[in-house]
Amino acid sequence: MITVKNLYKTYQTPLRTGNFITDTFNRRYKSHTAVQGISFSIGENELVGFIGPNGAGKTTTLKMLAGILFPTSGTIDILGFTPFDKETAFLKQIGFVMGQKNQLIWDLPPTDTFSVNKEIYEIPEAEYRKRLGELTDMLNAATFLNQPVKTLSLGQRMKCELLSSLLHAPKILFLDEPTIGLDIFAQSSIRKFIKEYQQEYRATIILTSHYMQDVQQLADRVILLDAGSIIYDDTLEKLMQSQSQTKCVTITMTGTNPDLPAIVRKFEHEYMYPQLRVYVPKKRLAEVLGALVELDYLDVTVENEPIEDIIKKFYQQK
Amino acid sequence: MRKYLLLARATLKTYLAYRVNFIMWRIRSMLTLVMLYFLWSQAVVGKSEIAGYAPAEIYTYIFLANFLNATVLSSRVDQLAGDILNGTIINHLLKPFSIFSLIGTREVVDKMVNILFSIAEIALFISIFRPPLAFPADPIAVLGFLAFLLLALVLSFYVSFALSMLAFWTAEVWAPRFIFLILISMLAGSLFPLDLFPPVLYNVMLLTPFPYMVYVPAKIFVDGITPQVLDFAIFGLGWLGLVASLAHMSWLRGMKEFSFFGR
Repeated sequence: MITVKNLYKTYQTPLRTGNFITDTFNRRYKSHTAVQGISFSIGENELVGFIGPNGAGKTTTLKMLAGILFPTSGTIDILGFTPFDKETAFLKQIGFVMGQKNQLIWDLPPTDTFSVNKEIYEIPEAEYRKRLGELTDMLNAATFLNQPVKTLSLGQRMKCELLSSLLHAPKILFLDEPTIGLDIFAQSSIRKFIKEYQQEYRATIILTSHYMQDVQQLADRVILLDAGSIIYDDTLEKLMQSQSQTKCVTITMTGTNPDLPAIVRKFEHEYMYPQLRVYVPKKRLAEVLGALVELDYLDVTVENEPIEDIIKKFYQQK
Repeated sequence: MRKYLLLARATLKTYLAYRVNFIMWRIRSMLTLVMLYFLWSQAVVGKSEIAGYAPAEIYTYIFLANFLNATVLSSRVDQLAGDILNGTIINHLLKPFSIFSLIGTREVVDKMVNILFSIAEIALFISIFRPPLAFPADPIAVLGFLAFLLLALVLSFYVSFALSMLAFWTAEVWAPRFIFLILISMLAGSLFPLDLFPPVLYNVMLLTPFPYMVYVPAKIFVDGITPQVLDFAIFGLGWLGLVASLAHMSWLRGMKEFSFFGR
């Protein structure tokens, strides 16, 4: 469905020397390779998460896949099309939602954008009505579809952005940080929707997000990018298993502030009475727990290391 | 066709969202007309003609120039430069709809609204002040006026589009546009007929694209079809071909080279 081979993108950015004459008439450029020879394939109905720090090349890759950016070299084949050719048949099969960009007509209610999109994408009336109804229900958006976009909250607007980008039932959906800036309730409802949409419409989804919760809950597979190169391409579970050899034990104490057991001091820990957090290798967990339960405590929890930490470690190793 | 109508309706609705802006814009146009009318009404006092123009022809010219200013030169294509600079252009690129059709449709709505209001304002003005007017004896002159009006509209669209394309290569797009606006105000003939200038200057002005946006259509309405119309057609169409090719080529090249970096 999506095949990318040896894809490169180099940006030319003008250098400012501070000399007006030189900057205007003899401008010099600096090359920056944002994507460096990446190759991957994505099959039908897959949901793939692109992870990476700022400047890793996630959004650039997404924009090349959607045909917005012209690749410096390499090939992209999506459903038999070369995206940059922007053939109508290709554009009708993709959707792109950008968390940081508004695609709706700002001064009018979202329904006006939907009507225009209906005509642009040539969606038959009955199909449009049906899909609009389904998506509105899934997103619980009926109450604010007739309000001007400029009066909507960020969460409401994002729901409308999704609705607008999905009315033509794209086979491939690009989501660039769809939950950015949203509160935890809105984030969770957008995540739930994305998962439902993928299952119901058998769509292929490529997602970028800085919120690991998004990727953890949604993506079947993750592609980790660093400085424009792919450094990991597999399931998140495998990454966690291979990287997470540590458990995080949190204990909330009562009574007087005690001396920490000697074994705790051997491992990385954070202590601010009454809460103690210890990062313990899996093999030594029983030993540490044995020492901790000797203390007066209210609660003890044992968790996997946070995914953010695992990914951070992975990047540091690379 | 329906997609164009819906797009036009949405454009019209956004106008209505900013009614005061629109009213102010129309008031500005009216004030220009009032100022120009009283200036010329003083200039023609006691004269039967100025440089070959009878007072009725002068008045007709300035009303037409005001109408052409409102329709040909009022444009929203310059927003495209802002769209490129802030990355909003991406929204258009993702749609299965040509950017030229999209912006062209919005432009048609813009022109229609302006034509409607401009005609109403000029009609009101004429009914109040009742200036003498000169209508062409030959209906072919009206057809000539309409043909050159169409040429002026398309030429102005492409000039504005080509100027917006600068945004692909530099963020400093407003300075060239200001220069363009200054040249328009001097060379298009919005304030008086350009043939009031000395012949050498007049002929040089006709080599630029600006007179074909206001002066030429108004001149054809007032003077009728003269042998000079062939020259107007050759140069006007020549400029149109040149500017339209430039706009299309810079669009295609800009799309390939632009980075949308961080946008």
